[in-house]
Amino acid sequence: MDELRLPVLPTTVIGSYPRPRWLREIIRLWRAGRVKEKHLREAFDDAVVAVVRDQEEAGVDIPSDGEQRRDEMVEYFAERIEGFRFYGPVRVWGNAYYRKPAVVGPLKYKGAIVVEEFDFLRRVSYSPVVKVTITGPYTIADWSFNEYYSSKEELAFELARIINRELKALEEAGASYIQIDEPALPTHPDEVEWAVMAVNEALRGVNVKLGMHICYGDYWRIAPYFEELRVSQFALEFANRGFKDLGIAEAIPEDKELGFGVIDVHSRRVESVEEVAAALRKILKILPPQRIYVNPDCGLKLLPRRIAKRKMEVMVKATKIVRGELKGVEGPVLRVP
Amino acid sequence: MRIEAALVGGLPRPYRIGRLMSKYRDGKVDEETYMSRLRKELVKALRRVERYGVTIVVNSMFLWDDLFQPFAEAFEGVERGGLYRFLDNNFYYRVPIIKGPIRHRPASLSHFKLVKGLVEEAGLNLSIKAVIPGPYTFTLMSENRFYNSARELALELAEALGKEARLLGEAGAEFVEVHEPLLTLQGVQVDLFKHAYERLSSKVSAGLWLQTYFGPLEHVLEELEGLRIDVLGVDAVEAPKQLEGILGFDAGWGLAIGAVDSRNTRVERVGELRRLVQMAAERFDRVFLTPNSMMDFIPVQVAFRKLRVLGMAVRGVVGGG
Repeated sequence: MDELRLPVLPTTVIGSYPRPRWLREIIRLWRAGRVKEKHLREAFDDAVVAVVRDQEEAGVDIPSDGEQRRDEMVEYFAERIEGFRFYGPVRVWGNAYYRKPAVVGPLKYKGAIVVEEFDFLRRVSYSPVVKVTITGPYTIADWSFNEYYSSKEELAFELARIINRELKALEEAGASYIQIDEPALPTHPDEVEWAVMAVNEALRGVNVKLGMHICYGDYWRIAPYFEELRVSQFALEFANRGFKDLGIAEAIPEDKELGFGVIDVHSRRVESVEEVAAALRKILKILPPQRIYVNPDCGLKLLPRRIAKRKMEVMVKATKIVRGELKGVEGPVLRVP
Repeated sequence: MRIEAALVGGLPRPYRIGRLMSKYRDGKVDEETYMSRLRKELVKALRRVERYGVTIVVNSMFLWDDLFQPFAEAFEGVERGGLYRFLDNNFYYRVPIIKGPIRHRPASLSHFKLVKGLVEEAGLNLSIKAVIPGPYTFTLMSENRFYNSARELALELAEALGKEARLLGEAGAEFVEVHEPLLTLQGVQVDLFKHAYERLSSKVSAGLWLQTYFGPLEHVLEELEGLRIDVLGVDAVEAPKQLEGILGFDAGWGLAIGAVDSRNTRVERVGELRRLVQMAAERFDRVFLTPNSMMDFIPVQVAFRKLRVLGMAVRGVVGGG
């Protein structure tokens, strides 16, 4: 393992990025049986190259593959784990839908889910470190219909065993920075205790940098578990809530970091560089710079691509301005294979 | 004796309608095309609901993005803000932001008239219930940047919602369904709820259907006595144990039993639902069998499968359907 020093306030993304229009068209044709599977795969690869290039141009330090192969963060995993069934799309807000899966039989790990994605991303990335995202067991359980297991808890622990196998496969493949997406974690206060145990079960024995992304919920419900959760970073959404609740950052233990959400992914208004810089200066009054990563609130995929890119550019520009004000401060160190 | 199957809150918005709405909002579809397709889909859904034996529908149908949307858009002093989780669902609403004095402007009346017109044109035997958020839940799920206290806001919202409910009644709504899911949480601010509800109910002549969901109501049941409630909607899926207590509590209201799970795809058994209706019919003159909340959380086809079961359960009971 080598040690890689990142710039102070490293910029990254949460995961998803708008699919190029031509990819959406190829997916449509593939669904209609008019494009072969191998051509679809090629299109996915090309799309990853394109969105990695967008991130490079915007100046993002740690890119992802934009989750170009994933329609949605739960259904992608459910499609690749035995025991799920899909009845149809369910609305999440406005006119955004996902195919909410139903658990109709015993769950079984069928083999690697995102390892190939990671492998391809690493090959085409401009950066020695990339972010891989994986949906956590509690969120998959909470965002599925449970028709089979006797309780959601039992279902979540079963999923934890499966996700653990996937995380270990990623580690073996050389991943150095994995983000567990658990937006559902604060949803049910009476379940948080066992939900945290299930998530930790999924992370058991995984020795790479682990972040956790949570959004659009009450972070204070999770704060008592920040210490206990086996991750070293919490990537949280703040722009959507007008940078309120910043006090939550103080609850993050000193040996853990904050991924600071500075871009509202549900608004097409492109933030000004100055407002993002102002938000960064605010959080710097609470946490030392070495413990802060900079990212959008959440995945950018619901935005038009040109707006998503402009928002990333603003994020990077604002970060560079604030970095300039932090002369001599070193960034965090990451272990990379 | 009145026993009927009814909708609560709304139906899931079909994916194709979601896409149509997005295009319309982006200016990619003109109003005429949009309305024509919307009307067609609404009629299709209304016909299907009627065929399954559900006799009371709602004006919201699948038209609203969330429970607060029409009101937050129409009322003066209110704007729609960022997304926030709707209770404990993977479903998000835009938080109403209170920025100035609230003034009533008709919010959901056009939806009521639209659905009523379609029901009449199609010659369907359906009664239309009007849906509004309750002032207590509205207050606590909003961001108050203007009023000095939650009480002040709740009373102003009650005033505006009461005016809306009166208009809906005048337009022909037999019931106005007032959503107060926050009554099922622990630590209810009973006085706040009661004052706001009384203010709202004083303005309405239509029947008031107080709808609660996702938890038990027992802890505030006695507090509801004396309020103008024509039908009380309770969740018998997530709080089944409360039914016994509620069945034994005679406050003169009708009972809406939310016995079909609007958050799970497993379809209920007709026999079990029928037993519940029979049990309630021994104590209440008016019994309505309903989903336990709005059905936005499940796929459309599953929602209709559940509605068919709902209708079948009611048809099998003497006096029902």
